[in-house]
Amino acid sequence: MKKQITGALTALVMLFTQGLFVPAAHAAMVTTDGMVSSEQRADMERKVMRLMDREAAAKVLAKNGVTADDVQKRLGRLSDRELNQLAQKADQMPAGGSVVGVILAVILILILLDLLGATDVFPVIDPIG
Amino acid sequence: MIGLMRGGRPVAALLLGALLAACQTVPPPERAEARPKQSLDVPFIPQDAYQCGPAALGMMLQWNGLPGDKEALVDEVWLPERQGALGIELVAAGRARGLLAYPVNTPATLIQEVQAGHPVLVLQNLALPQWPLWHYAVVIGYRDGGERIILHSGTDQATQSRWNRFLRTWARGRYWGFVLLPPGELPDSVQPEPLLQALAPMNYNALPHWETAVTRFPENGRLRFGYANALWQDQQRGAALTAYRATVERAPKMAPAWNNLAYALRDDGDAEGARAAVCRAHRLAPEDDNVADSVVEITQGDGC
Repeated sequence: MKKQITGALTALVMLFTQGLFVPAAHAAMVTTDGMVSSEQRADMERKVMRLMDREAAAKVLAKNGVTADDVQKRLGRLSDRELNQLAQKADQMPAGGSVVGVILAVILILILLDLLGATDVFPVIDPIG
Repeated sequence: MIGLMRGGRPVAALLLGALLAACQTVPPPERAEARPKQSLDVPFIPQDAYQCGPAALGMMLQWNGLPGDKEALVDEVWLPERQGALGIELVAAGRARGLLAYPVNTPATLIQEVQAGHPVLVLQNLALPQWPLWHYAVVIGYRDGGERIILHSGTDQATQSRWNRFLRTWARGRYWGFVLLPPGELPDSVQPEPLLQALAPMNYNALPHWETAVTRFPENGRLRFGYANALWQDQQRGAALTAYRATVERAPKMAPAWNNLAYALRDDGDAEGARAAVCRAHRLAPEDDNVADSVVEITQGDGC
């Protein structure tokens, strides 16, 4: 909870600092990504959320071993929606890895399932029938 | 013994379930019959260790004629602690190179895209929902009327998988997949709204994609809006003005388009037209803060 409040405060401070430099805070052309994501949220809320999401997403990448330089580069490419997914659901999102590293106890079952054609862990095994 | 029973039951149930699942066979999509086999020429990059994400992405990039060095891609998409790569980052890496990353989420559109000559990067769960084994592979073709799918997968070049086997692993990956296409080319299965969603976050070399999009769907106001914005961003002010006009003609209720048209008109020296356009936007979206501020700016405080 405390973290959330700090995050919201940081986001607000950042917003208002931006406001100081740009006199008309958000009178502007509407970007296409802005239109797409603001169809779900009000504009002001969208900007606050984007800042918060960006901060949370940066933590997610850093926690997963991405270097500080790469974190900023990688976040800059994401759309509002992707940033939000990374910030909120990274742990539930599948990270595609590889065909190695299964616990031994599971291997036997998987071989059987492979034989039945239900799974495809070991390419060598062709399903029976 | 009791412990064994306890542990044994779920496993038995699981095996029985798998046995039943194995009995259910789904035929390949009908459209595969029209062309019984297809094989695309896609460069193969074998994966190292767990790094199927960078390898699969590298193949898609090389097919587009771009460098696809997997070592360099590791820094862009790899999550060391997760020993894997997230799908959204693969999509973002393609988009950052000016390529259209468009979703492919059904068996029918998978076959359709491969028939159209487009390789498809797919997410598979090779094991079970309880013990997932996430894996990225590139579908490069099929044979026997779709009964066998051909993939570049892991360390296997052009390996074949039975349709049903592939379909189960892809279904466990929630049918997640995408094509990566150069400017001027669209997916064969393209629909206007997903195309808009795919192009909206694109910051690099987006304009030619928007041009292709409005040529394909000339009556779609939302795509016209994206095209007009891309022209404006490219400093083609005159062309953008024309494009904003074409947008509101087709989507007269779209407040953001009237808002942007107002700025384009003001830039063109048409203060009266700009005022009318921004007031129209305000009437359509009276709650919108951005539009309200635009009214102040365009009318220089006079309001509507």
